[in-house]
Amino acid sequence: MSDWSIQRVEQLAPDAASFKAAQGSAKPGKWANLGHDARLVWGECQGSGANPYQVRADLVDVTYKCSCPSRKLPCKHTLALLLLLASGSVKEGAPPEFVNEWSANRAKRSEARQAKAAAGDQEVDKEAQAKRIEKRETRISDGLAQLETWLTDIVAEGLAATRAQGDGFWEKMAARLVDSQAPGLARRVRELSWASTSREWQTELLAGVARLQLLIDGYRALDRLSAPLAAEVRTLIGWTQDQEQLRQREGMRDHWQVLARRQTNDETLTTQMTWLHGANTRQFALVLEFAVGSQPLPVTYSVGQVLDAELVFFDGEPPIRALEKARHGSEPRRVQLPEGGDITALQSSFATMLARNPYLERLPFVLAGVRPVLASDGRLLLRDEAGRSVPVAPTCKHQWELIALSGGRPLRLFGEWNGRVFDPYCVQQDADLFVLARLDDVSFLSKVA
Amino acid sequence: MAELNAWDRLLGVATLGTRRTPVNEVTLWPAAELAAAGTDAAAELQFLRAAAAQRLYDIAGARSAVQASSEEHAVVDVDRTRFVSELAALRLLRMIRGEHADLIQEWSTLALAARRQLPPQFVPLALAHLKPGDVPGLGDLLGPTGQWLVRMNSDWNVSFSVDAPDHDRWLSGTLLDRRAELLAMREQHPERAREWLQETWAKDPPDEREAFLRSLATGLSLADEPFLETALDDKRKPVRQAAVQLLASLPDSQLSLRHRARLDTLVSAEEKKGLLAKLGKPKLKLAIVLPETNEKATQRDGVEAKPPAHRKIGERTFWLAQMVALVPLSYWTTRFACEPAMFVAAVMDTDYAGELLPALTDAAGRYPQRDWLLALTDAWLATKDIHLRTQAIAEMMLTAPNDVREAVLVAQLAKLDSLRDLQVILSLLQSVQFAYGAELTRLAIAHLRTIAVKQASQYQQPRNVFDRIGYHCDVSTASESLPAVLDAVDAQSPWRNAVEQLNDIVEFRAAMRREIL
Repeated sequence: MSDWSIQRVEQLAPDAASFKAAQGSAKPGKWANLGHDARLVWGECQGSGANPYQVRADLVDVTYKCSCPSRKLPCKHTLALLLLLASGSVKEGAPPEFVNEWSANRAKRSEARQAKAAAGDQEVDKEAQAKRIEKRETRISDGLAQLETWLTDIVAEGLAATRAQGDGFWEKMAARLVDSQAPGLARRVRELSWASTSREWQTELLAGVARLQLLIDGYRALDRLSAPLAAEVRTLIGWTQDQEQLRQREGMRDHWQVLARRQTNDETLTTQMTWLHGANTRQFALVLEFAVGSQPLPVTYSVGQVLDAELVFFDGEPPIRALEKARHGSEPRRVQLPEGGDITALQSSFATMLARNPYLERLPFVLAGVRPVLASDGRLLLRDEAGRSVPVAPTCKHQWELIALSGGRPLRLFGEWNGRVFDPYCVQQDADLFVLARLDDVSFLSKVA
Repeated sequence: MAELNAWDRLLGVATLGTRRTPVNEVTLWPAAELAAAGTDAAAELQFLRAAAAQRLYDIAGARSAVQASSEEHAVVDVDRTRFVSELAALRLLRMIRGEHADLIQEWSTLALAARRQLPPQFVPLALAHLKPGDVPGLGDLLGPTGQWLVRMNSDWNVSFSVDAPDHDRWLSGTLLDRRAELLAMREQHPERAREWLQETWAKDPPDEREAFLRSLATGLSLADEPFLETALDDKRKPVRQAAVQLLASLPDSQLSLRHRARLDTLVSAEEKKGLLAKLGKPKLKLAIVLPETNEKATQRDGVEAKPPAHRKIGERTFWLAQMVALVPLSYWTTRFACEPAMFVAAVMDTDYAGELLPALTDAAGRYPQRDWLLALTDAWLATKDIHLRTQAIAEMMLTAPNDVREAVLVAQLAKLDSLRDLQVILSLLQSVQFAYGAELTRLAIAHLRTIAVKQASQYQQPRNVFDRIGYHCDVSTASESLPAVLDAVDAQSPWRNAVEQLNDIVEFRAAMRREIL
């Protein structure tokens, strides 16, 4: 309930101007009928119009509504209301009529959606669907054949000659694979274009093309793979798993702790990744949320939050990606990372997973008891008690912050390991947990409250 | 040469292409039994499969070796109870990113006054963005973590304050270390510090000599005079100038006495004539003779021969003005048995007022006495160029004790009319660079209120016109009075935005105070 901090409200703001405006409106004098209960918070804010704006928010699902005409989501009044809540200026009470009406409507809509989903199964034209799938399979198999010929040519002509071809060379093949409805393969071909400009372009390119061949071989032999691995290969090629169907499955209920969040942007799509860890199952889960264009992302999770929730995992080896099927409530926040392993444990877990899934790219891991140290070439290493070390990803901008935080003492870090470098997302020292945060070009460690 | 590993052999083939390099299929595979897989396929495909297998073998089999740590790893001793709060550190981050960056210095002063340090994870940010010259006491703010980090990155140059001055560090440290050592010693034992300086003086390069000499301003006394006199003969001008400044700050120094002797003959009181002089209030009239030459000895005492190109001033007037700047102000009031105001009025009546007023102002920087500052600010406010005069006043106030400059400014502001003297008031308040006391803050805000309520300009005023006032006013006084000003200034006033911004700054500073602990 009171896990709303000012920082969390700031994260929710669609832009800095909204947050600033909200701070101006977050004065109890401008509000009437303020109140909250276990799930909802509400109030009426005097704006420039004749009638006060009615603002209400659901703190568990993080949805909100305000009667103001602003098109920003959430608007400054919603943010101001949450700021008042965060600063303890809102007293507990019973929701007034305009709040009850809103939650009743939401409940009705949600029921309607579930009913539609349940009914949807019967409506689908099974025959048409089978036809569509068959058509796509044909296209993919054509695409794979073209890709194989293309790879054969690259090996025959040599990487040096291929690299000299320029960007268009990769883009052309990627576009063909998009036409073949294999977007996952297209993305990997585009990655080769970046690999060809990297410092270790020979290794990156050869590893990349060999991987593509391994994917082609894997897809052609799907029926000989275990079910989870086959699902993994299909996902890599570009098939999606039907989320409505996944939701019908029994999920895994646990106390899920939010360990880290990270956003990536490409031209049109913002992806929000959230890593969770189950207290009892000791399972890592990755929830993806998407926003198109300038749409704001939902702020469903905040680091340190612990949710009593049921997650359903997508098929995969190991299953990592998940969606939240049902949320039963919030637990007290937790700002400690789960117990971790040392470097030997990190490398052997990765090897074990690779034996089950040769396509594995990254493994979430809590690395414990490591000190950040600078190597003579300026790279940052994490060294464990035994004296083993692994390099930190060169994309990590928090080298000095990690060194300073440690002060020569061991840290515990959560991040992802790709077999070569460790990419940290958050770090714990003694009783404090920090996320690796950035504001424009300034890197800092933000303490999780 | 070390034998190529399997992956390197594969890279060799792949780089040139299988068309140009012969491929031995069997040796490509990480394990012989794998080579059987798909032997019916084209050579290129087999090559790709072998490469994929080799890559997996390499990654899955990679294990970091134990490396003995070459050096004993130091652990920084930090005291968590001394950290500023997380919110305070985040506010510093906001300022570093440009929001009210002018308040960084105040923030660090507050933190240091509370004996607080930055939490370690914020230290690299401060090292990368704050300059030691802009933030006094930066070293103390960064604490032991800062001291530990600067040794790892030569881009970072910060001096850390010295608890116990150390002679070895004075002799062999870097320039920054040596300055810190000398200053620390000077604060504890001024005599010992001067002896340290004399010890290495002959070998110190000129830039360092100048820097070291300036640190003698702390704990300066007549005991330093013999050494400073020798510095007057130094080869480098900045060193000589530093010595002149220090000697001029000692009212009984020989240098000061020599200038007084020169001025004894150049400036004198004119005979009072006529009935008016006898009946009216006492008045001083000055007779001024310009020096004929600028002797070697006078030049040694800091009087430069040629005026800077941009100053429109005759050579002889320039010599006189420099002498006036270098004697204590009490010399004049004693000699002519008058109050500062009377003497300044007499100076303003001479033909050299334009040159002598800045010279007296310069001297007032060294001898900041209340009556003198009042008389000189009066004289400045009566001159024409608003910008120049408020600048001069602001500079003169810099070295004055807080209570003196507060009293002087309060007296001056009380005399001004909010509307008629609007430009002067704003210019003065924008120029002064020190913290206002409660009285000055009340007066300044009262002026602003009248201006913002009554001054009906048809142009929108710049939003930042009150910013400087916001940065320097007394926070608790301003917090009390600003809400009423906001209520009084309606939304249509051309000053409304500026008043709001002023209020934002005061709120920002109030939050800064709440958060430090």
